[in-house]
Amino acid sequence: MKIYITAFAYINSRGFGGYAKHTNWTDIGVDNFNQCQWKQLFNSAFDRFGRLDSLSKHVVAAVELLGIPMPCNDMKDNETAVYIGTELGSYEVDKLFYKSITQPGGASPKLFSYTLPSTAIGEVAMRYNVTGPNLCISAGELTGLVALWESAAMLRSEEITRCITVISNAGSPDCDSASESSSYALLLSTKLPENTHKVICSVNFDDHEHNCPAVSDIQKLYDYIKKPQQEALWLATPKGYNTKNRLRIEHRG
Amino acid sequence: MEQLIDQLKVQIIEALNLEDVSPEDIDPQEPLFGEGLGLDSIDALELVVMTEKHYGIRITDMEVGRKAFANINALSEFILENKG
Amino acid sequence: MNESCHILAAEIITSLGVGLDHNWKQLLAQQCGIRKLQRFQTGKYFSDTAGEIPLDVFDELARKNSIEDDSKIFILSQAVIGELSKQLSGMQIDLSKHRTGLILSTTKADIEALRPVALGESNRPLNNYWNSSCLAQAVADANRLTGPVMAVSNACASGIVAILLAKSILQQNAADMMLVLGVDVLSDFVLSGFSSLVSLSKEPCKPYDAKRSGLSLGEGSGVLLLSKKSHSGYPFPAVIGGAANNDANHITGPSRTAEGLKLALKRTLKKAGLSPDDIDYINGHGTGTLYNDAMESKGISFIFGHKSPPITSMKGYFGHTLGAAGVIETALCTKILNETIVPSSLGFDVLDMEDHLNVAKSTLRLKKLNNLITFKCGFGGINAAIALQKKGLS
Repeated sequence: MKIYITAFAYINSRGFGGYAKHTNWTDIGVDNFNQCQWKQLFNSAFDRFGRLDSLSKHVVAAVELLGIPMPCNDMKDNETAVYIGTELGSYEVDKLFYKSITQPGGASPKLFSYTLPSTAIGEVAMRYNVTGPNLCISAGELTGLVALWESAAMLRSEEITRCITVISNAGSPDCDSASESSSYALLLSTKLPENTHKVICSVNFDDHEHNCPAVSDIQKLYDYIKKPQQEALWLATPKGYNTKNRLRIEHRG
Repeated sequence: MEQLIDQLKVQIIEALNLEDVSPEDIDPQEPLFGEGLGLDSIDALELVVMTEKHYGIRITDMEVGRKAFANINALSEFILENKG
Repeated sequence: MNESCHILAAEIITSLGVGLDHNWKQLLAQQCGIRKLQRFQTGKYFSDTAGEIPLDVFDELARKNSIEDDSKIFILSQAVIGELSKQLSGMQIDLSKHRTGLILSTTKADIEALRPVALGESNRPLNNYWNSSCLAQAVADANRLTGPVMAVSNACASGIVAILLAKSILQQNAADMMLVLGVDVLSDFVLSGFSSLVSLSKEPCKPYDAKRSGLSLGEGSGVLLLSKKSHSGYPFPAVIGGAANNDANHITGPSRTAEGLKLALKRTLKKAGLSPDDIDYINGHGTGTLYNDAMESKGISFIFGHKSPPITSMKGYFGHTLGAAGVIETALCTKILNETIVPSSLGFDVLDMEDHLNVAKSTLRLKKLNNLITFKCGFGGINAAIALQKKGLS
């Protein structure tokens, strides 16, 4: 079964964008993502944005950048999963919640709701009306790789045809400075979209017998997607997975 | 009461992180929940925390809370009745 | 066809005590482990009761399992695996000789370790176990596991989501066996959080009851050993299908129309190759909050109609153990399947007029119990379900 990357988006220290677009933070008059209001990034409305924690803001904004159409009426999308990879994305809001316990008025229910990183999935599900499977995973340094691997494995084995996969370090101790946070979002699909030039890359499980180096760093996947090239990119098998399978990513030419 | 209403508008915007809403945008008669500002149940609970934090009034009965948070006028009346 | 995987062994530790068999006896005797808080300040939270494990039990577990660490979550994790190992040695299974992975299911791990950093009192946390993937790796290393290691964080549905993930990894042939470890401990953080949401019951919770007024928190650990192959001579239920779906409705409140639960149940039945009539028992989520239990009533009525099988919640026995719930309650479901007995839904007396559930008010000794469904629902709108089948049928 073939899996395609049909949309790709990112938010990082320089700016934000997708496959063929990039906007620098300075172009919109801010230093980093944390200084943005939703309306500075998008034309659409999103009243809830201000209430979200760092991780949820990053995740929803990255998904919005994928360009998924907003739902019509109340139609639920049962065929799209939302998987996120986050290592300690609730760290920032955990600290804020702890402080709120000791303040007059007491513990903040709003902050508490975001101390579970899977609330970010809930925000995506609500905004785009997606009711498919969910997974929020952390695996140390391999968090991004495992999230992507399991997204592909789920698509390969399920009747679900799409997966929104977001990998983010927002909210985590790695991001003491706002400029260090970055998120990547991918839309994986087992159906070829009607407009074939929307397929950026294909993703396949293949036995990796060759000597091609395999990468475990999602940043390298990002670099590969941004710069179309002939050669395939092999992603490493996550540690502990005893299989010869690797993920082979190829640009669609 | 006018002053309290203006103060409450600022405090609500801050407590609930209402992006892109300024105090002038809020009509003190308009419902806070459902239509109007469109707040939800977590926001309601957050307003309970806000009321205790700024005015020392503890709301333990959600029915009392529902009436007090109907709109900003109702909230300012509630605070004046219950403060000190 | 969706492949099954087998639960080769299961163990739990709750406020009712240590060991699956011990807990099972307590359930049959309708014992309640929800009591007045001992190690937390009473009067501080909305409720003074919870399914708390006594301090001397933690000390005893640490001593018996030679655990030098004083982190309660690490003690519960290692101790429940210690209990499991006794079963496994009887079955002559040595986890370190197989490619065995570990999936940890926890909501906040050892969050209290982060308190000094959060309050600016120190630069360093009390330990590393507030980081769930560190906790997962520490437990994997302590048990010499060489397979995939990761942590799942899907709120109260984490346990079932972790089982589904373990099943996926086994189906990929990426491991021979997978441990699914669910663990959560009571903390000021979590007690304060649920207090702020006004969702705690002052008395032990009453799941599905017309007079229910909220949930009771609990703590504990559960571990399951999953494998693609069964092991002859032992009664292992198979996980024959499952699904996790989102309500897409609200970040903490369940959908009033049970959209996510309906979809998860429907998909679980389809993947298991079963119809609603094939299900002999349902282990619900049943937290005892007004909205959660009403939502379950809608979801179950929709799928099972008027001929709904008996349903119980286990939360009345030991409270809502959050990230551990899906694992602890699935472990108890293996006993239910093997013994063909359903312990009563403790705390339940009478249904609300709006609700339509076939809640078991007393212990049921069924003639047939081949298939059951267990589901859990969590913040973020997630609903996750699995179908278990008695050995020999799949």
